[in-house]
Amino acid sequence: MNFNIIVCVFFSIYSLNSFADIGEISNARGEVMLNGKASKTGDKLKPGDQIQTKEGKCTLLFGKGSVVHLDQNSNFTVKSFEEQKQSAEFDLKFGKMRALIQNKGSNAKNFRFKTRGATMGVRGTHVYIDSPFDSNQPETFLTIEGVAGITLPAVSTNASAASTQRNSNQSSDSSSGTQEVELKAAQSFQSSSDSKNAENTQQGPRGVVTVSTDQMNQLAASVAQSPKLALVASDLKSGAPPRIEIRDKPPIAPIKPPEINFDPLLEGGVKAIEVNGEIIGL
Amino acid sequence: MILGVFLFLYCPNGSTAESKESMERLKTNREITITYVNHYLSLGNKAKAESILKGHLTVDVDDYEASHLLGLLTWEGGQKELANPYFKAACKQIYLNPKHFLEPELERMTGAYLYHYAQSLQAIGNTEKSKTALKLAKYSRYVSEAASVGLKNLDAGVPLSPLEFSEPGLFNMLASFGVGYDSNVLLLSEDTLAVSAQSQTESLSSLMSASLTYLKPMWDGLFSANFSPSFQYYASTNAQTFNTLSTHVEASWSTPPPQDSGWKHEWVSQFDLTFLNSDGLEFYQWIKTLGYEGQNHYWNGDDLKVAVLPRYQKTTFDETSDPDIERTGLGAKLSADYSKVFSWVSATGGLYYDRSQVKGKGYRTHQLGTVIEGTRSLPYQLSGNVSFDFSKVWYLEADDLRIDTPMKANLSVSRMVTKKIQGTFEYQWKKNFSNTVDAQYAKHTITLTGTYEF
Repeated sequence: MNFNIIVCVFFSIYSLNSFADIGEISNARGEVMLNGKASKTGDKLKPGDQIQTKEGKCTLLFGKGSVVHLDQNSNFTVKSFEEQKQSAEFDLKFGKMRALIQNKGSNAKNFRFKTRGATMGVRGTHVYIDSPFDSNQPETFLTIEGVAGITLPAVSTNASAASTQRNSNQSSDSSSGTQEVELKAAQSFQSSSDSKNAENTQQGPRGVVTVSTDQMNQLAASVAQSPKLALVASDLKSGAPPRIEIRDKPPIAPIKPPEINFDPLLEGGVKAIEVNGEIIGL
Repeated sequence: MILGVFLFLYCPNGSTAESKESMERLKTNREITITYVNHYLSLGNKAKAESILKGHLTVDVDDYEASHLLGLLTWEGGQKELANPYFKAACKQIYLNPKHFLEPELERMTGAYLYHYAQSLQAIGNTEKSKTALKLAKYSRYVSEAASVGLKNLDAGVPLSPLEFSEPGLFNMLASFGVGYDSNVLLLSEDTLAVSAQSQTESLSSLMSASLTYLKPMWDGLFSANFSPSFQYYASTNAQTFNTLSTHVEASWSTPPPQDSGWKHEWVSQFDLTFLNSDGLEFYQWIKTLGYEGQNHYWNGDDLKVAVLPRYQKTTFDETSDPDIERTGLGAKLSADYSKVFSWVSATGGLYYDRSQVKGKGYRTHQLGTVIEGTRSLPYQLSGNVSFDFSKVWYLEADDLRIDTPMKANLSVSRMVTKKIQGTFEYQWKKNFSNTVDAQYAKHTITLTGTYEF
């Protein structure tokens, strides 16, 4: 009797957890589908939900500090997300995404982004993944900030050894039959076009390359630009809410600045600024 | 002691790398915060947005964007006194960035923060400090006008008005010099007239041109003015001269480009003036074009561009006597182009229709054409461009019922030689099939141009 009650309570809690909201859709623009139906900003996400963007883009928020920007023509499934354990699992079937995960001090790479050919494990970090719809095209993994680990399917021992020699970031685990690639900040990794293909598996991964800041910014902006505060004229108009929007850089060339020297020691802290020789207190 | 020296030498490198890493982490966390704040503001939940910003600022005290936004939200909530410390913090934090007046984006923000700080100082009755903040805000070109008006308002005891940005203009100047070879110089430049005739003279040529552009954001869009004079000199071998001096003046105003998808509208006014000395035949021509261009940008980066460009042209020859060849009159061009970016090439394909209703019935034409163009980057930082223009021109009212089929293929390769200088090699092939024998021609042109950007 008691055992039955315990089992019932356990399953009730389990099922509640399974269907609890773990995230929501934000900034949905254009055609964004949630489990095959049109979605909008504010829609809640549960484990197992599938988000597909067509001619649209969206941002997904998980917990208090995890952001996933999805580009158009992407298919993304939320497998699990646990805020307290700082662990999550997502499937990117195809498309482009950029994820920003707040670093909460843990070293374990418990956020996992699974694609058709690899799994990218991250902790607090900023990463970009491009998994083309065409499976003949290679997948790209980029770490913009932090450290990430790529787990690839089994390769032959010889191929692993060869690829380890090629790049110190790569190592193989013969017991699990997988190959690990560590990506540091500003490093990108391109998987072979189809890791299940024997010929490509023999070749092993193509290697890790360092990416310039400009290239990273370009890739990041291609998925979703960081929102910038728009300082619009109505900012302080009574009743009008401050507007936040993505804004292009104005086409203005820099000018020679006035000679302003900031002296933190002056008046015991940040209290004065020197402008063209004249000391002005703030 | 050795250990001490080792630590002294080792630590700076380690701390630099660590500081770079922590700066990058800050950047990630700031983007996460602003994304969440943006989300809650879009849902109208200001309290949640404020709470996130406050939490974020306890761990990242230097985030001036967060401080400023918190100031705005507090001000909006009617707590003007409480907004003051947030604006003050934003000003102090942005001044810590050495580029606060060097980069346009930061210059704009610095000016706005100071102006908002001045507003909050006025609200708490500190007029003197408010004046100081406005004096500093005047150094930002985006806020200088508002700050000047604000200083007058402060003197008059009037509340500062909401911030209106002023948008400074930008000048851009290019100068080009090129040398080339033309296998068959045309008697009338087809760049200025739709039809021409061959001279059967090959010639080396030189081209000098300049382009001065002024851009100024205004009326919630962008105003652009361009002045481009050029002179082409042909050093022919048989004492013939074919020199062309042309000037293009254009002014346009366009709506901002769409953020993701949608239409960008542009109203264009062009004025082209050409003087030509072509083997003793002198003429001048001006064309006034006034029209509309619309560009629809799609989600996937594709572009559809449509244009309706009516024009009036005045052409004067030194020996115009036959009214049938009078080229003065009205005309219009309609075009539609679709651009698509593939992984290996950026391609454009389009159709155009041009109608010329000039006075001389010999030059009243209907032209229907198509243009295909492809651009891609090449090894060694080269950029390659290929285009092909094919059209059919009907002279429906000409006595000889002339029908032309002009074709033009262009191949160019360019490379930035330095940050300021671009070198371009161009090969062009042109051929005109016509049922009028005099109008048939074929020619090849090779040009090597260097362009300097000031």
